[in-house]
Amino acid sequence: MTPAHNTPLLSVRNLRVALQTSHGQLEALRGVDFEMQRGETLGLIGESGCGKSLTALAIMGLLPDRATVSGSIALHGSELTQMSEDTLCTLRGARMAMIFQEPMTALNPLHPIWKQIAEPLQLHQGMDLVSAKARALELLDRVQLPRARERLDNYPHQLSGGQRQRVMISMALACQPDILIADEPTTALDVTVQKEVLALIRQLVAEDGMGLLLISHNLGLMRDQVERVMVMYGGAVVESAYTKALFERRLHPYTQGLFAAQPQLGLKRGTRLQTIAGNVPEIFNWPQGCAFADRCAYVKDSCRQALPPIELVPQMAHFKESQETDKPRQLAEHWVRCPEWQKLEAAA
Amino acid sequence: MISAQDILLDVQHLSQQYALPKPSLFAKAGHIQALNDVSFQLAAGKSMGIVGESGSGKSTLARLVMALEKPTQGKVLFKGQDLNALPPDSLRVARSDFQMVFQDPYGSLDPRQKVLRIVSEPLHSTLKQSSGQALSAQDLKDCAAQALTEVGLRASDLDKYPHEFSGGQRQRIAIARALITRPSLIVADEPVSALDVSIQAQVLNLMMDLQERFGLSYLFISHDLAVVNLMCDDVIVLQHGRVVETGSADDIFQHPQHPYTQELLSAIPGLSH
Repeated sequence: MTPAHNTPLLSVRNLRVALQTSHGQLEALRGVDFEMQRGETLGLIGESGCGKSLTALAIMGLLPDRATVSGSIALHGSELTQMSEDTLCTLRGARMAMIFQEPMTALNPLHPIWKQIAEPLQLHQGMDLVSAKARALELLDRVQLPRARERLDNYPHQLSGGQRQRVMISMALACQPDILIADEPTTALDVTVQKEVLALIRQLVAEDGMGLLLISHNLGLMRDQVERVMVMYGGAVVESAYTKALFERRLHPYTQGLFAAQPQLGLKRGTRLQTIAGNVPEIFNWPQGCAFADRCAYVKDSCRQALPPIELVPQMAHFKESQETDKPRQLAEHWVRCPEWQKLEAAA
Repeated sequence: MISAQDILLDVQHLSQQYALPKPSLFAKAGHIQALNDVSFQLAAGKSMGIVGESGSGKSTLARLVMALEKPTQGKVLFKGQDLNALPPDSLRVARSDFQMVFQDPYGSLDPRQKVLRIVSEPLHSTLKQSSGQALSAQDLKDCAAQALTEVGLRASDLDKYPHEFSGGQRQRIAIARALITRPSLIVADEPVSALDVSIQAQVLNLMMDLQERFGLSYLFISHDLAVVNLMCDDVIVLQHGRVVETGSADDIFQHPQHPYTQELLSAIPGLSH
């Protein structure tokens, strides 16, 4: 398999996922599109139930059995949605790997950590147990687990939350995947530990030139970690931009609301936060059109009829200059699924 | 300093030790010092923030202030009364004046009870004893309906079960349950940590509104420094059960003195831009 020079590492096209629920078949992802090259870092941000994790699970081929997938997910040009489970197994853990939010539940409590790190090595690289254990030690050293040699035989419950997450990362990196998906990797950790773990992920991704898909609900974290951000709401990406550009200029009403609702250090005591009226709709109440329509002050009739189309935003001059010229055009774009973004920007 | 009659909560040299499991039958049991000589005062109508990482003693402090366990050393004076010296009946009556809101709005509401029962529960256990007679069913319902309206829910929600509400609405129910006895102090242990950002903002605004309206004091426990900065007048920074820094929120967040406070502040993602 020799991919053509310009084949993206990961290409997701019009990805739709429908789930079988007690309310019938419901579309939980409503057309997600993006592309990623090696060495690129991309963030998915949004509130619970917006489809962030579902996107990750779809890419990993870990959706529940009764989920229906349409659209395309291609890794190095080979289509994953049509792949047999056996073929997927040869890619999962080898070419693409995932770090989960809660390391205690993602690790097996009954096996010492070295065995869990050795498993992908035995499975994908045919290593024998002895060399896999030696490699596990190298990997634990690489993720800077203190006293790694003594800890090889430890069980997950003997480690702290941050140490467990380091073990998870070493498992994910064992076979040097091309793409790393991290789903809220530090949400369960204290801030000081979070800082160390994020720095570690950033360093490892840069060293190995992996693609990183980072899922988080934390805006500040996105700002530190990824070049590009996609904002999700109600199963759709509503805005996509360079992180820097998004922090200067937010054009979707939901993105604006999300940023404004976040308390910032230095706000005067008692300042009321800006809120978004209403609640996040439950999936069985998602409207046909834009899921944000009922909470939006700028809503038009067309928003309620169908998901608004993607509109390209002309970029501000200083972003044009700072962009690397060899990046594919699509990645550089700032786009928004809102017909009224110009009005919103004028009002801001 | 706060003048003596304004002091609502006076925590004096509070320490708490927990026994660790014995490593073997004959070994001496070890101890863990969860809280070590913590003192502070909280004035009526003010908010005190408690920050620190997991294991720093934040929740132990909350349980001691709520008189849910006895400290190994030190005192909790609430309106001048030593809570741990009170006989159980008087303590139960005194409890109507300090209430708690927990982190997880899914775990802290009984799924088998209707909202009416959940919200009016504190009245059952406290007012009955103080007045010697039970409130009528209608009185209970009226009080619960009023508490629900105060937190932005509807009286018609009384007949629903917790599962019919979203996370943010459940936390409002938990706040209504705390408010119904008209307490002077609410101990809130990570009250918005489980909520999404846009819902968190609604609940924080509500808590600030209620404080202004009822002159409440909050003991506000959070790992989110920006939230504490917004909600609190004073802050205590805990590390390994000890107070490493204390002062006004503005001072602590703008001019942190202790290296641990500085470390906490510098670890907030997204600030270095």
